[in-house]
Amino acid sequence: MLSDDEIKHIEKLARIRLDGNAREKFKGQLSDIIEFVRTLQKVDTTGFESETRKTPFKPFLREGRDGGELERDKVLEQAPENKNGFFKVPPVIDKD
Amino acid sequence: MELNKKSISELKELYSNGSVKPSEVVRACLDAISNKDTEIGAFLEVMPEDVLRRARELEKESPEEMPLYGIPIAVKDNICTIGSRTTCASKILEGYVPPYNATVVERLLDAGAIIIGKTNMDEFAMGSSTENSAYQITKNPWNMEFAPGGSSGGSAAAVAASMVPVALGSDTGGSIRQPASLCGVVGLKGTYGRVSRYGLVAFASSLDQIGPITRTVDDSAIVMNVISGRDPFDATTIPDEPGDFRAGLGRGVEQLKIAVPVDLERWDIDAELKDILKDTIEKLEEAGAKIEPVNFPDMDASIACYYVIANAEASSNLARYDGVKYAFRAEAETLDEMYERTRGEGFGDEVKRRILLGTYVLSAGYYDAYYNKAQQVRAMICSRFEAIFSANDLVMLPTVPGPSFRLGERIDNPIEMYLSDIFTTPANIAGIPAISVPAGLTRKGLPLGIQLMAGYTQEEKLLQGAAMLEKIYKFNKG
Repeated sequence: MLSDDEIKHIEKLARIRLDGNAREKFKGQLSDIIEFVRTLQKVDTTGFESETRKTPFKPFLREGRDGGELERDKVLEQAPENKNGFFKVPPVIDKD
Repeated sequence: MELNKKSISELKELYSNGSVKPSEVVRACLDAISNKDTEIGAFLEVMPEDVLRRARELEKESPEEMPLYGIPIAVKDNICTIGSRTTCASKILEGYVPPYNATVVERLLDAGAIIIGKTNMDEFAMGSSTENSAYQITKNPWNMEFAPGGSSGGSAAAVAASMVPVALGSDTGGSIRQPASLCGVVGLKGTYGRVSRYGLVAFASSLDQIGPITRTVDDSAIVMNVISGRDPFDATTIPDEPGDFRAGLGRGVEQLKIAVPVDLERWDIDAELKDILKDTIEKLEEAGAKIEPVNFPDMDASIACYYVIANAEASSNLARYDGVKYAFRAEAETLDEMYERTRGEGFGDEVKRRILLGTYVLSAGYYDAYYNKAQQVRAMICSRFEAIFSANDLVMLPTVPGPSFRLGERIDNPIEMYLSDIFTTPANIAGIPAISVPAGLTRKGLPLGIQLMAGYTQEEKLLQGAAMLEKIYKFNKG
């Protein structure tokens, strides 16, 4: 079972804040899921390297030409807040 | 003549001989949607004026030059469409209108198709029942108390209820094939890289593929012919020309070697589905196919491997929803607080569970034990499939262990829900093409599906086999 500290640590890493009730529920459910995926550790994978890309084709690069870029204003329109051509966010630097 | 019930090839015929016009077909589909969708809930958005305008514009063009001339298509809500909302059925993307079209959408439009609306789904394609939508529940058209499956449940229900002949879905672990099986329609996931993912909102980038949900195998092949191929905007697309996916449809199965897993008994498969599988094996043998029992990759390991890799990738892909760039933001005093509250309030439970799990398996101290191990298991599964397909043309097994389940029945039990994908995830892990074909109904009237898988880039053979299954089952909603 995940401890309170463990789940709070994962929340912090994932930048997701859970309220108290959700945290309790998730603690149980996540512990079950982790238990379930732990079965992997019993599989004998001797001789198999970790493989992150599953395609026999080599990914290719696009030609270095312009085209297909998005219009700045149209992108910014979809943001919750924008100002003078930038995304606007709450203060990053502490006032004190 | 119920135009909304016609297949693509039937509609093409009617257009060619001039007996119907796109606006008539579109109207028939829009009428079916307004009659049925209040109850079914397959669509998140339908754009009647845009759709009719597009239909009338097409009437000035010749049907012969466009492979999907005047064909109404519904698109899953995680595929970007200019000018219409693309929300992934999530609150965090509420009202988001993308500034570009997905490559598949561009290809459909160039081919003369008419995008009729956006379909409901599990939030960010995470789920197997479409109950994880932040907006609405979708019902199974065969029985309104049952789930349509997921995550492309809206697309499958729309096609099953004859609201459209075709819908696009996306399949990361079975999200096209599982709902197709549960709704009694055909669902195809191509080889990884066959269809461009540009403009598909990313869930797990090494597994995601877009594909068609249709009522006939031929229609699936027709749509795949349009949406497949290399795309400069997706570096993982297969460089080779795909060829004609309809080429093998009438070829039969003589000399085809079809592998069937020997240990299917290990899983709790519905009795009626077992009978169908047995009967199918006999019929395929009569038709000249050779059935080979094989040892399949370890499916228990496969599903655990899937949940580690898919959620690890999801935790990274979904980091972009931070309240800065798109749609929803929770107000807060500081940037960090804004991130945490936006994500805490904007994502639904299943999405949060998966991001947290993905974060956990990638975190310091656990990476090797979970993520790295899962990648080794992935390599092992791929190598097992290579061995199977070096000696066989196709693999046949159920799509899902049984028929649909009641709405609400599994929603609080994530693991039970995950096990619904036990037979579909291996194809995503190995990147191979797979299709679900409707095989019959249970005594209670719920559809069952049989799945075929083929080797890397062997869609032509896959569709060849699927066409034979379709002929054997003669499944028709009528």
